[in-house]
Amino acid sequence: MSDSALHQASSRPTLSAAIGDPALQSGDAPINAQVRVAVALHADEQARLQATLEQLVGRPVVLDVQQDAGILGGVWVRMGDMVIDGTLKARLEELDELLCAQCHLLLVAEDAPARNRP
Amino acid sequence: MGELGLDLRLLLSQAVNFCLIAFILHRLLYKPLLANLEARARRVHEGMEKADEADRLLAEAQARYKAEIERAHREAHEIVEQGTRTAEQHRQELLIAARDEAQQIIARAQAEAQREMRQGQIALRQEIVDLTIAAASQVLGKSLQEEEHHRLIEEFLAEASQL
Repeated sequence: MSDSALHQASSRPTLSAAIGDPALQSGDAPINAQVRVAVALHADEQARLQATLEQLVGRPVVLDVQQDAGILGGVWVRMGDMVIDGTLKARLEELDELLCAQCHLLLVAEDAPARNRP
Repeated sequence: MGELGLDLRLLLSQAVNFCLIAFILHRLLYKPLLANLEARARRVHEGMEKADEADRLLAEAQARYKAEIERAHREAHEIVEQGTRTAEQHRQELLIAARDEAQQIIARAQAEAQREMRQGQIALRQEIVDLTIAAASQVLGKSLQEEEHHRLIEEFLAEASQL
């Protein structure tokens, strides 16, 4: 499977909750961010990740980084109810769904002339 | 007269007797006999007329009987023909209905077979896709190098900053 195909399946991390969640934006207390990566983050990567997340929620973020080979690659982040899924596993699952949907569409297209036949 | 041997008185008495006997016979025998004969002839004539009437009635009855028999035969023949036509029509209708039903059953069976084949195709393709993705996941999980992981992390950071 080519890398471009994976990018076609999902070119951006999936954000599964509203950024404007009041629970995330209320107060200045640090918020815990669960982070999963396939390999250990470099110090600069971790710093940039923390800065990016703080910019995203507008408050201090405390990272809780865990290694998880199951995500295959990329980064998975959870802060409160907000989940940012930028993992290779998510891209492959999205690609799986896309291909299955195309299977259905192809069969429906093949089936349509048969249904219209008298 | 005497010379001829005729006795005039005897002749007259015999003549009178003859006339008397003829009168009596005419009165007592001939007239009843004639009336009896006439009555008998009349009865015979009436009997013959009745016989002729009976013959005519018999002929008419026979003609009516023959006509009724012919009519009954025609009606029976028509009834049989009508019954035959009705049976044939019913048979044709049953045949057509059976053919229609058979065609419908065949069409339903074909549609069901096609539907099951399509479902099988869908399941097979999905299975192929799932297996392909699973295989790709395993290959990627084992083959990705350290720098490629960090390239993915860099991509994530770049894209997350644009959220």
